[in-house]
Amino acid sequence: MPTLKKLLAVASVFAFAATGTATAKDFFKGKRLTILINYSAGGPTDIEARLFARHIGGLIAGNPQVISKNMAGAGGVVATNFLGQSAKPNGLTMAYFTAIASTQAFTPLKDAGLKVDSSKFPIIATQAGTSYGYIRKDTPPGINKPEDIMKAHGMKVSGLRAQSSLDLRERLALDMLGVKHGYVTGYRGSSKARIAVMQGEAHMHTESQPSFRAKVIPTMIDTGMAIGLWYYPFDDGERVWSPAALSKGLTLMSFDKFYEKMKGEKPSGILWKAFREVNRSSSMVQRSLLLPPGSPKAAIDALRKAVVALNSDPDFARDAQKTVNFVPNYDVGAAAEKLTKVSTSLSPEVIEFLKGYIAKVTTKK
Amino acid sequence: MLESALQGLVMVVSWPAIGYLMVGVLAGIYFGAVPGLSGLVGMAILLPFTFGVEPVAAFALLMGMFAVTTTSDTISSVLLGVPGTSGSQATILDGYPMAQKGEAARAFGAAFTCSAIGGILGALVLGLSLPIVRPLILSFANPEFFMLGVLGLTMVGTLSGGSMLKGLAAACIGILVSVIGYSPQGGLPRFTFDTTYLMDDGLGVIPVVLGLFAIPEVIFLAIRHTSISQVEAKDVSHGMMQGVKDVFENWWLVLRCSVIGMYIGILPGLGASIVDWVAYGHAVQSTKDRENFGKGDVRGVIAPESANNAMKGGALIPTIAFGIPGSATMAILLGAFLIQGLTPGPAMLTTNLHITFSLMWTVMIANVIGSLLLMMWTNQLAKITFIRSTLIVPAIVLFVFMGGWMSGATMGDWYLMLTFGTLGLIMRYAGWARAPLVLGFILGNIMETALDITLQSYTWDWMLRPISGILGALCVLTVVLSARGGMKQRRETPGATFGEGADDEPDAPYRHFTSLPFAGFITLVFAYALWKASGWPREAALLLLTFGCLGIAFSATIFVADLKGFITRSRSGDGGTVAQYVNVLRESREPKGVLGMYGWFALIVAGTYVVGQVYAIPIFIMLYLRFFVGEGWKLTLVYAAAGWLLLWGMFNELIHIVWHTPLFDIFSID
Repeated sequence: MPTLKKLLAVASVFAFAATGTATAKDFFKGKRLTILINYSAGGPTDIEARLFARHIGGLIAGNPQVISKNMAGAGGVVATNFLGQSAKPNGLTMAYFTAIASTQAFTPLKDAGLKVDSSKFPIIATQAGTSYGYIRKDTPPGINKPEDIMKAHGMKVSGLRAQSSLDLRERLALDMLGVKHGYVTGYRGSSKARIAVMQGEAHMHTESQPSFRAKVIPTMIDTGMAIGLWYYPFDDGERVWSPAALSKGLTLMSFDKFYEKMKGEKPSGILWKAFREVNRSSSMVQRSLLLPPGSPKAAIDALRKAVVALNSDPDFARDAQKTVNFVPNYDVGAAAEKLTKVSTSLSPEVIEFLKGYIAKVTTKK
Repeated sequence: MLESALQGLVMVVSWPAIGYLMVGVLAGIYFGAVPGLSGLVGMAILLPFTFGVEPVAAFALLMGMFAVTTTSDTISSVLLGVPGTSGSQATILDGYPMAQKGEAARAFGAAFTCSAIGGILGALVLGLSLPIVRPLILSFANPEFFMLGVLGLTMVGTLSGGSMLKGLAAACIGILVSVIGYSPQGGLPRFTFDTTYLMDDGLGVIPVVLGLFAIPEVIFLAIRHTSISQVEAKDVSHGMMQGVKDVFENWWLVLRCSVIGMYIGILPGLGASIVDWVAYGHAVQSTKDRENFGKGDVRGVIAPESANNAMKGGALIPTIAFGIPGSATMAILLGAFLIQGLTPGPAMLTTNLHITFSLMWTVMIANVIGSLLLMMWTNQLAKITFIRSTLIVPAIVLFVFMGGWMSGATMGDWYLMLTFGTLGLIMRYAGWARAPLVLGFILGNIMETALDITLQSYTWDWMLRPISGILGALCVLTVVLSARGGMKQRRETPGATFGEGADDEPDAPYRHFTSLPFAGFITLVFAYALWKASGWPREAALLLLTFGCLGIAFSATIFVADLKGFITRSRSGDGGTVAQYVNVLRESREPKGVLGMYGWFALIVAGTYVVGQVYAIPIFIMLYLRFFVGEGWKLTLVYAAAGWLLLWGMFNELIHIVWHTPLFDIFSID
């Protein structure tokens, strides 16, 4: 009898496993997967998400129809709240969100209206991305190579918001190097800040990889108006590194290497610590592919598998190169969970420091 | 340059590009005509169809669509008083009154003709301006944008209608509303009341404008039980051809507004929301006989419709030459460029100039084809204005609510729209013009950021920058000329007023009963806003403190004037006592009708929470037609089914919008 029980137990395990596998395989068969985008149509997130949507359907087991929907507002927070509070956890709504980790991490610095804990979302994948600094060549006394920034004077750097990771990294980087600079912030979007640099209203700005490669290089660098300065390195909390793809076709250094070259030592101190944490929160999890809390495991498994396949899909790579000028590479499953975990919070020491650092430029009356 | 222009033309008229262009035009007519859709939605939907298509044909599809959305958007502006896209907001000021006078066909004739001419002129002027485009864009930095905003505000006088003071106060309300959300530098949430929806860079233009204009109109249409046209079809003497004739009689206005539109298009960040207001304001400012503006003056249609089509060509330039998209629509087009392997930059004005010209030819040809097609349908479209209102109201309500929803796909959009609907209704009863509020709202956003950056980035000498100086001089000139014109008009026709809130409107004698408490309330709102702003950092408070002080002064003055009028009338017993007013209200069906319509709106909102929009709106249609209007079941059910089909087919299957998640999941259609 005990043997029969054992046999039944083993059989049920196999049966369960078989059912589980079948569910993961067939979950999306004949269904429609909606990709929710937390920014409006036409922006970088939207273009990238739609590129993703075009290719992922054929790689998901069951070949579901894939459609994209935009839900913009409050810097992506409206859609984040929707995903946590209202979206049905049936596996048929997947988020393709930008800046979810940094929004969560920056909540102590700025009330963004986030009503949900974004760390509770099941993670399919994340995608890291960096940003590139550039500067007008006529910035006094004249900038012909990145090293010349050390002697710049009367320079103004343009930003979006005092609390944004873009502004903080720009200011922290320049302060670490000891470059004196003015700071002009409040531009509504990087394209506005870019034209300010074109107009000479500001001298320096920083933009994401797709914008830098597709817009800044042809309009400002190839025309001799500006030069690239550096890009920000990747950082998973344990190490700082720069994948070769980031500098492909460019003669730029990552910021940490540039600092070392200029100062003859590795960066350290509270400015560097704050820089690392801010940089990590916004670059390591630049995009997040998520499901609403409580979504079926079968959907999570099927989507993760599809994203793994997408990473080596030549059609996607070709289309991406053409559309966004780089090929996104996704960290999937456990790797994405780990990166999200280290990127969604800032240490108390850095939060305290940043509060004062931001207050320096925002408390004028 | 000529060679590139010809090369571009040949590419556009060759097969298959011309075929794509035709498809684009048809799609554009559709996306423009349905309120809430617009060129942005069209661009997002059509973009995937361009993959694998060669560049000129791909852009013929996208630009063909984009070029004509501001032609067909006139349809709902004129017929329903609901702006089809943000580019036709100002068209409703005179377009809808024309429809009420039975002159919808004339308005269409004028609008479609001048849209075509504006589109062509805009593209032509742009072609001629290419050599100066680069220095022009680069010389318009934030000081110039701020001065442009100030220049725009000088138009408030022309949009104020019956009372300049109320117009000025309304503009200040608009500026107050424009600061809701994060401050320019982002740190401070202002008047957000811990609501995520409000924690943004500002409120959406579409829910605000739909609320201010469309909600009151749909209420009046419902409670007055007439057709949109208040005259019968047989009594209408001005048809479509009269509209065409009007355009040619006003050719100088068309030309001026086209040039205005094109240059506004070139400057990134101004865009469609503002172009029609500037053109409308210019038309009123530059006209001697203003008394018919706001009451159905065809020039009030010609000006914005010439400008909003001319803008399209201009908007292309910063996108392709600098990689700076002035709007989300242009951002998608920029994406299409990258997909096609074309890099934005100076090359688009040199080695790839033929592609740039092909885009301009596309805009021109699309404008002509789009206008001709719409002209063919004009008489049929105009017939809608003669259908009884009870049949029109459910369709308008559907489009207004879905138009508002498309803004951000959250219930916040509806609450915002209904809040501004109430404000619009009160302002209408109180004789406060609503157009200055919209102008203040749109310009407030532009001016605040521009002023903040100017103060950070420049010393006081920004005022001496050449273009800033010219714009400043233009501001002074405009104010002086307006004042002189106003004095002359008062001398020649004492007591004459025009536009919204004019003294010859039927409800004018009872305005002070609404205006008095409203002015008091607004004074208190300004006082509260100023008190809050007094504790904010400079960048967050500057605009509000400046215009809030003006606003409180204006509204308090109106309050005092209304109070004096009230006391005088009460003492004289000259039709102005409270008892008489109460009597008027009691005898009128309007208060009940207004409340009844709010009941229907509440039903839609509540129904959406329970079963979702796709069912709540058809249920409203059904209940409204059957039990309020008393239609038969057959018509009621067919109408409701058509509503459902539209919501499901167009909004769910074609556009893929995010719906509200209903309480009862079984009704979810996702």
